[in-house]
Amino acid sequence: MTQFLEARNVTKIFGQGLMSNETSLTVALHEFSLGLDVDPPSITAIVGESGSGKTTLARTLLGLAEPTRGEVLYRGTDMRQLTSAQRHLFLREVQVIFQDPFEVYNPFYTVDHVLETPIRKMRLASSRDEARQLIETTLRTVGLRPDETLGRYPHQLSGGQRQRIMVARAMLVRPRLIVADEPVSMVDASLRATILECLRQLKDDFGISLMYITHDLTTAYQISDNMVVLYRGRAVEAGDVGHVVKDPQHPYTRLLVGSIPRPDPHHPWHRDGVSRDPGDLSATAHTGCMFADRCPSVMEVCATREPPLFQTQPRRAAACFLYDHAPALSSSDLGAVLGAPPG
Amino acid sequence: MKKFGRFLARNPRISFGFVLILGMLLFWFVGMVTVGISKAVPLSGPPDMPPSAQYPLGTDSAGRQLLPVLIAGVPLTLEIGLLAGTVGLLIGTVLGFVAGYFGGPADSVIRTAADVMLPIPALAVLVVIASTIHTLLSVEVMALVIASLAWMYPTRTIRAQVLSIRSRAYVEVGRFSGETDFDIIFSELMPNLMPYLAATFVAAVGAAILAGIGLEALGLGPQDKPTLGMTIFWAIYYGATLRGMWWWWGPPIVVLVLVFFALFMIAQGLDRYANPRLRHAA
Repeated sequence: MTQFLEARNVTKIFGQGLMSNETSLTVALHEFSLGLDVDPPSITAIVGESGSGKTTLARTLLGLAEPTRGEVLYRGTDMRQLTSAQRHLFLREVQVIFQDPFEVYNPFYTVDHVLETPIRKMRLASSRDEARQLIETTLRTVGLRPDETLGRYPHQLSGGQRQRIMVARAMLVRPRLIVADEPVSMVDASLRATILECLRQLKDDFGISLMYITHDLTTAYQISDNMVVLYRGRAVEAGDVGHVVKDPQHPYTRLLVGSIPRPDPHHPWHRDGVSRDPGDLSATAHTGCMFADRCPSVMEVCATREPPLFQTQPRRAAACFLYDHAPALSSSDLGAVLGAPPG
Repeated sequence: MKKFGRFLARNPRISFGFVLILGMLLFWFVGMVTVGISKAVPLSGPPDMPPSAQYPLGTDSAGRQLLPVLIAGVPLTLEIGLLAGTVGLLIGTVLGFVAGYFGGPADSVIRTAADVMLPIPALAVLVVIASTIHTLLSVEVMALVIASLAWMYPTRTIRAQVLSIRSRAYVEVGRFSGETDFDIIFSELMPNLMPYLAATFVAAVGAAILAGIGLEALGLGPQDKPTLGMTIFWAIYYGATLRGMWWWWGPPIVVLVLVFFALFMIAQGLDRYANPRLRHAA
């Protein structure tokens, strides 16, 4: 069965140009494969630190960046070979929410512009009144009052309001999948919950799947069904979000979970004693596990070979030799362990 | 209209420039109604007369009355500037957007062409062209000749502006809202570049007037029209400066200084408007 959106062995390297040499290359994604299905709808969190490749993954899946090697398939067709009809369908089915809720607004227009454009361009309404009605209902769905929002310029609204309008914009199109790249990281902490609630509502009430990209394990745990942990362009752990967060298998995931601050001053951070920063991200010929230099349970084999993803449980996988008794996932396809949400 | 009035009130430099240009148009209009330009031709009066009640700005050595000459010359000069500036900016905008937005081989070709043409002194090329087609040269043809060398700078600067804003997130949002390249250029990029395009336009008009005056003062302008540059050419030709005939070369130079001052003020005001960071500098 062809998957809705699939990254197949995608490698993305930045810094390839006339003046660059081997050491200045940055490998943002390395041989990454991930299939996403939208039926039934689910929320998949992509978690990783800065430089782990999560934004690159989003941009590649959205067709905003071309993979250096490998391919991104939309309903089985390479993104680079979509016909214009398929391209239209893609925009109808896949929408985006960006991180910065200010940069996404053209300062020349009121916020109405971002809501009216998709309606006009995708013929979502047959008359002006219908369009107005559609905008107002959608704004109410995301918890905004149309009379306090429409006709304003972006700088007259708060970051939370602006981001909710972007959620409304993506929602207007009624896509099958929304890719949200750090949608709440630039919004006040007090408003994050309402936006995350909006996103979950999209799945529950409208059947829209979500790819939630974040560096924040706690919000990922709150709203998602599945989780993929990225480390330096590779998936190190994937599976059901409850299992991954409550019983992390990969040492890196353990580090992430251990780094979640707890409201207890006597609880020290970094119980495992892992606190070093990641090494440089350049593409110098690296053999072995990328995490070996920070890993508390590093073994000899880690320096020689890169670990494949081992399927430790039916819906779990971890790329660590600690689990080499488990079967390795063929072709590193994470889709196999990211099933439908339970129930 | 009311909005435009408020815009002018907040930008004194722009209003000042506009007032100067309007003053010159008023001078032309009142002059056409009261004096007319029929006496701007040779033998309309005795030669070499200093200003007097009968000949307000005197006459030149060929017997042209210089007030009608000035009345006829002001709009011709502005016309050359506007025409050449408009054509140059249009070419520059199209090429700049194509190069900046689409990139690729088109960008390489356009950028290289502009870079190669840019350091060539335009006046030298214009002199060659103008002297080759001397007999065909009307005001409009001269404007087009000037425009053919006035597109490089707008191309280069507009390309740079397009490059900087085409990767903004709102362009990507527009794409996901179903906008085509055409929509993105005209509804996302153009509105934000309007003040910048206006400033480039004013600069292009100024450059075109300067090039036109240069050609005319060398005697390469349209022969049958009393343009300001042509008047300066005749003044030089007949040694007006040595003969102390200040009323001959003085007025056209004053008008030209005012034109450039007005254009400079407008360009600077627009620049401040388009580039808010300049507002607090100096």
